[in-house]
Amino acid sequence: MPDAGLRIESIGVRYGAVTALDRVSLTAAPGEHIAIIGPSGSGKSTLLRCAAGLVRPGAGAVRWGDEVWSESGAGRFVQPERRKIGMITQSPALWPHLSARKHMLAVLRWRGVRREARSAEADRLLEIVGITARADHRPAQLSGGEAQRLALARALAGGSRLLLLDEPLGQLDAPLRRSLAATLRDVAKRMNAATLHVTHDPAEALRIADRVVALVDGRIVQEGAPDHFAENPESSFVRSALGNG
Amino acid sequence: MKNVSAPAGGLERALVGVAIAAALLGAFVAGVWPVLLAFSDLLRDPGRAIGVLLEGLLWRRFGLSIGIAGATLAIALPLGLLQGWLLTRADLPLRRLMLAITPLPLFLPPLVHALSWFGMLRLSGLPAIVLVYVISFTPLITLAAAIALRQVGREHSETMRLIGGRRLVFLDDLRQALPAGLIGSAFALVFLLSDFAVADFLTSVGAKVTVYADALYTLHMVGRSGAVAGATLPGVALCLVALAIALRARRRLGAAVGARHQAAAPLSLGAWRAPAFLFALTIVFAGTVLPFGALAWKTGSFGVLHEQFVIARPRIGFTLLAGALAATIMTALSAPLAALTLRLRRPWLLDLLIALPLATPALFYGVGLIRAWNRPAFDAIYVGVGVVLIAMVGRYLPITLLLTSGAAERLDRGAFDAARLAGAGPLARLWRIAIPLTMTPVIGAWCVSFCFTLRELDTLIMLRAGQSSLTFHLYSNIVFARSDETAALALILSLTTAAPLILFLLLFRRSLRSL
Ligand SMILES: Nc1ncnc2c1ncn2[C@@H]1O[C@H](COP(=O)(O)OP(=O)(O)OP(=O)(O)O)[C@@H](O)[C@H]1O
Ligand SMILES: [Mg+2]
Repeated sequence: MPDAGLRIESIGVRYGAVTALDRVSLTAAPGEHIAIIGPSGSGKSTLLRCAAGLVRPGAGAVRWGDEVWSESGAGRFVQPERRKIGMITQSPALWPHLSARKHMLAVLRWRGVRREARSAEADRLLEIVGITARADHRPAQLSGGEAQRLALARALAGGSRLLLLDEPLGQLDAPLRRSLAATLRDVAKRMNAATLHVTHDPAEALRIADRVVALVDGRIVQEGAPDHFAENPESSFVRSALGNG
Repeated sequence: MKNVSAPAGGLERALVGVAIAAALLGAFVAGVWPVLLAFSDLLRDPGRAIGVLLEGLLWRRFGLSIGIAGATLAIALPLGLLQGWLLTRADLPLRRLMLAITPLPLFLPPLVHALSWFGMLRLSGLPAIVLVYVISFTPLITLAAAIALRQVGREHSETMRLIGGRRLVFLDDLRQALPAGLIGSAFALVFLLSDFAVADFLTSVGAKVTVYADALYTLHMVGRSGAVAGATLPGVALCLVALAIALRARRRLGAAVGARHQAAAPLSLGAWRAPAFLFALTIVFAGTVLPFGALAWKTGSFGVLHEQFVIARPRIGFTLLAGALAATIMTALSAPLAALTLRLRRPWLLDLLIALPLATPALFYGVGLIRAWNRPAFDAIYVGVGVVLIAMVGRYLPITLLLTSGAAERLDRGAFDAARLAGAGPLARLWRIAIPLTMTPVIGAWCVSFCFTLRELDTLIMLRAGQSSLTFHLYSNIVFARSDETAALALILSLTTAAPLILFLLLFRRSLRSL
């Protein structure tokens, strides 16, 4: 049993009559990049929110190594702010009153980075996502893609051990998307962070992920290495998504 | 299986719980308890209570008041909506200035408007009463609509424009402003039903018009307490319904404002611009410039103003202190109550409980306050500023709560989740996210509460300590003093209200501009 890494064990989430997740299990080791694909409404965001602790699953457990993050019944629950997670949600959820740079400084402070180191680290993060020139702009003054890149920088700040990325590159043009996806992968590897990366672009999933997971109707229908995945599609969704159905 | 969103930590829950309990206790002591005490007369003297409800006279007076209110709102609602739209969403010259002076009439009790208009037009009778109320309450609707319309997003408005042109933008804006307009109307109705002074003053010569609040006052003066309690019931019921509708309408005031919200640009009116400008100007002129000009003209000289200022100085201090304290208490109480409202599945029950003292005719709420606090043990509170504070807080808390909980509901939850994930604990989230994001509406709530407490007359008139207030001083002067002195006092009251607001707005100009 690994002493670090995310382990999601048979979790279930229901919203009234809708079953958003049904006995989903998934692991992600440090440094591992997992792409999650699935049709709209299949439960991808819900899965990420469970890992983050923003939704508490009604069944199953979420663990990190031997820490129990959330467990049904037992009532054990680790607050999201204690989990050291970087997350990008589908809508960037930026802080309207803070400039790009202040976004970075706030997170670094909350993550306990020393005061002297914060400024340089903030600049470095903005540099990675390529919005250094917009450092003093507030979210309302950023373009859609710039806002998304700011959200990306925020998720990377402060040494997260788990990255939860919900469509992190959705608003970017293709070349930028490709280069940022590669950067993202490198940075995550260097941070040795486990990554769950939801994407609507199957080619991107196959290109950057170590493992691909397909979610349909709240269930995992296929899971495996990218090449294996492309060669043996096991469901109609995967077949049509990869364009060989 | 059942899933819930992330629960808060133990300490955080405990602190929030304590704050909510304290706020509920405050709202109960200041508001609900006096009302219950006043209504205990129903049980003590049920015969008289039922008797008065069977009298045709009471219902005629009630009907008359409703008629006046209906006529007032039939004019004020469309006027206020249109004016609010013109001053926020149209490219009119001077619209910011016009919007800035729109609240001025709200600084004065309606009676003072009666005074200034009566001097100008020699109007009397029912039309004069309606006119005075239209002047007094249209700004409430204008401002409510203006606030709602500032939330209209650029992308939304542009989409509407592409679909249906400027006409559709206008109609869609009106749809967005209507809930706010209804909220303003509900409050106008509540104040109007509690006011007896305007009708009394405007029909002091000629055929006397006796309104509902006046009838209650007479019953109170002849000491038929069970009858007062009974006669109050229809008014309370009507006001509660109106306030319940208003508080529900708050939920339709607009969706969460995301981080990248951009206000829609004002619409260019083209050929309509000149007539629209004239229209807006006329309303500002009739509602604000003319009454205040008339007061200044009546005052005549700076000497009179200064003389009255010197006489009223201790009352100005008292009123400012009480108003600022009350507004601060209300704002502080409303924050945990807003948090509670967000959590409740049926918040309207809490809304109604808090609205109860405002729905109760001011005079009757005053009776309850006397019952609650006029005891030897509470002398320190009853004789001093304490009971005045309680009266103001009990009565105007629903307004503060309406504004703060509206702001809380529009907060983007994603911004909080993001802060949690970034490692921000409860205090950091409060300090770095919640306070900056709600600062503007909370400051606004403070200002509005302050303004209402300063013009409060109908309850304070019942309390001995309330007689130290500037509004009461003004009221007794209207009856007994020279008209130049009264006009000077009215100006002093407006300046007293405006001065702290202007100071406040200047101090917080930066954070206000950010919205
Ligand atoms: N708060 C909620 N209340 C009720 N139902 C919800 C809620 N959140 C999600 N759902 C439902 O749960 C299901 C899964 O939603 P989820 O957001 O996880 O989908 P998704 O895979 O992320 O979709 P997309 O690709 O469109 O973002 C959907 O059917 C959705 O309608
Ligand atoms: Mg999603």
